[in-house]
Amino acid sequence: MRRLSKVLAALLLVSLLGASAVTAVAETAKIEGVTLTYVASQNWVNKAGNVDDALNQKFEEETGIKIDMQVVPDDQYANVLKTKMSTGEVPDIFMVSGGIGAEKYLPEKYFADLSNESWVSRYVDYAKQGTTIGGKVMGLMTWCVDGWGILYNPAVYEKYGLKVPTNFDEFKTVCQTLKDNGITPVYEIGKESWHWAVWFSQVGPFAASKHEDLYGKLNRNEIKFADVPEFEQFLKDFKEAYDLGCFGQDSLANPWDAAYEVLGTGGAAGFLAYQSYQHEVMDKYPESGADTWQMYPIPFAGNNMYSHSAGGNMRVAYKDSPNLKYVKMFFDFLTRPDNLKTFYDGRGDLQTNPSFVDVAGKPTSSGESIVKNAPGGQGMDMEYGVKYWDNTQVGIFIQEMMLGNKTPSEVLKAIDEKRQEMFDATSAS
Amino acid sequence: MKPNQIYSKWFVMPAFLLFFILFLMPSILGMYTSFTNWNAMSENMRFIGLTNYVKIFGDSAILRVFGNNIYYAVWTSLLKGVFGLLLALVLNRALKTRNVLRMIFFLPMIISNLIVGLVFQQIFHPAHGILNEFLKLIGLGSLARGWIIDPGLVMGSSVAIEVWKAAGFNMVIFLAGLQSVPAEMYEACDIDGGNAWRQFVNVTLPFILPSIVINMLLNIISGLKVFDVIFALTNGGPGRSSEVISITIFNEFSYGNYGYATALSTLLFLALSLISISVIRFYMRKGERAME
Repeated sequence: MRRLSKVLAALLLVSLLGASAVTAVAETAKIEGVTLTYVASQNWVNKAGNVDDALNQKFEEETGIKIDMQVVPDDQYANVLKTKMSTGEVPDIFMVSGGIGAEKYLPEKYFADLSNESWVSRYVDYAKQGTTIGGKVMGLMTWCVDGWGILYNPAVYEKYGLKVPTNFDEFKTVCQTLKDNGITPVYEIGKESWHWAVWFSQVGPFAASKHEDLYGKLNRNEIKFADVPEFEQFLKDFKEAYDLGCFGQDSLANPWDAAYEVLGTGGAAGFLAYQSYQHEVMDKYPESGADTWQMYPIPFAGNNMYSHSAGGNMRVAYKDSPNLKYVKMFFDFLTRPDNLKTFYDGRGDLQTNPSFVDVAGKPTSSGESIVKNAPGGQGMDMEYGVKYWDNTQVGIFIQEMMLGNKTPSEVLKAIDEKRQEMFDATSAS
Repeated sequence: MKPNQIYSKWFVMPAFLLFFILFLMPSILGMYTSFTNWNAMSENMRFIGLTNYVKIFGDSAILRVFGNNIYYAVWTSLLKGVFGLLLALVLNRALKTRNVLRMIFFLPMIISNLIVGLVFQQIFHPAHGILNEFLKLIGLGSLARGWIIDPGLVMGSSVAIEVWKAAGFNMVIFLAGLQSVPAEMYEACDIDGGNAWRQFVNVTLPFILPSIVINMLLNIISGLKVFDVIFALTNGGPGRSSEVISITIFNEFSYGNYGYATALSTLLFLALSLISISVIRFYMRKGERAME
């Protein structure tokens, strides 16, 4: 009997040791030979740091799945991605803008339906709306809703007894006072045609508040830009502001990068920017006090609304990828609360209004102030809500207006003609 | 024995096949899409005939863009040729520093066009650019201009940059051509009482004619298909005052209007092919007559 007990004990010990060995092997077993291709635009990833690379590395260490992140210069991103799609080299993961900007990548053909993923229920409202296409959630958005407005230095305004302008006449008065004191009222990066278009894009929600279903009608080609009086009035005010020198001398020569230095060194009192821009200025010029700057909506044509994006950029899974299940694993990994925190901690520009309920927002002073300075409410700007809107094309027309080569109504006519080309090209008949 | 009787015509086949498969065939296939409504937003590509071409020739803005290309190509070709030849004539002499000088004048060619555009963007800035600051420093502030924001000056500024960059390349081609001029021809001209100008016209020019043809051909082609320098310098602005065809094609592709963009690139391809074939045939006929 004693001998039997010893044998049974020995057997029990061996089986326990075997089980733990199997468990240990299972825990360290990683997925071999899988690489996920991930294509992104240059300024969308690893901005002011390397948080995307760090998370990719962490995922590889945990699972063995490699992430091959391919970064493309911003100006070429759409062309390169469309070329890859046309030639059958669709990446496993790629990034696109939320809202109307995703349409050119043919979501029904290429985007996987992620509606049933567990993390979807943790989206904030704007993220769910911005990633929903045709009733399906088709993207993983870890971004933040942002909007453009006139970022200004309150200390300068206070010094000259100025208040936030609420209409165009007040804006002209503010500009004149600043110019008289040798300060550029609103620095404009006029070499970048797209920036002129961003100005105009912000009047969309205000115009939409005056015309029912304006965006829908524009997108169904039932109404033209030339038919909307608010658009023409905005452009008239815009041109007048330019002629009055509100945007500084020689603004047409100023590139994007020049704005950081001019604002950081106090060369201008304002700039049309997005809400997180002030952090970028602070990073480069810590003495500038840019973290205290505030924002107000563009006060042209009576506009008093806060205009925002569709929530930013999102990651999309290629629906016919042989690695789709691993892509979903990667998305699960990225949306784990600890990794979401890591991501947002590494992206200071996206902390104002994160896409997930798990991450507390840290609104910038410009983000808080523009909402306060917008008694008319808020809405999505035209870049994200209107079909066949192209910042470069619209911006070129506005540059021509500033040079005196086009009137405001001719700008609107040119936009309509350009959009009509695409309506004609995409019509079925 | 004539050169073309030594080597069989089949010797050209390997190079031609490579050129055909990798360049010519895709270009010809691409031309078909210029007759369609190919675009980024839909998969319904359908044949629309000459619609894209009618739009191009009916758009006065596009015709002005063609005008910019011709202006740029003609002026850069002439000025690069003239400055390149002058440099070659001077640096063909027995100067102690001629090798160093040749290198200095050729150096801009090795700088990327994008870098050149970005650097000159700062040099030409109307408010704080080096050029205007220098003019003010030497008391010529009245000559300071908006070199890249004045629509009347921006193409001229672009031409100046290209001449600065590529005159050295023309110089190199001309220097090679000048080595083929026999020294005794200059002596003979000198004995006949010919001055420097007569030597240049009657001796130098005939011998460097092939170099002139090559330089003009390359200059015209690079002028007509210019993109990166102007893209970096002005992006075709302000407005469309410095826009060239390659930038229009780029913008139309970015907009998603692929069929229209392909029509523009087809026109550019045909123009370049016509010019190149004409010049090469002219040169070949001259060469055959010279052999006879």
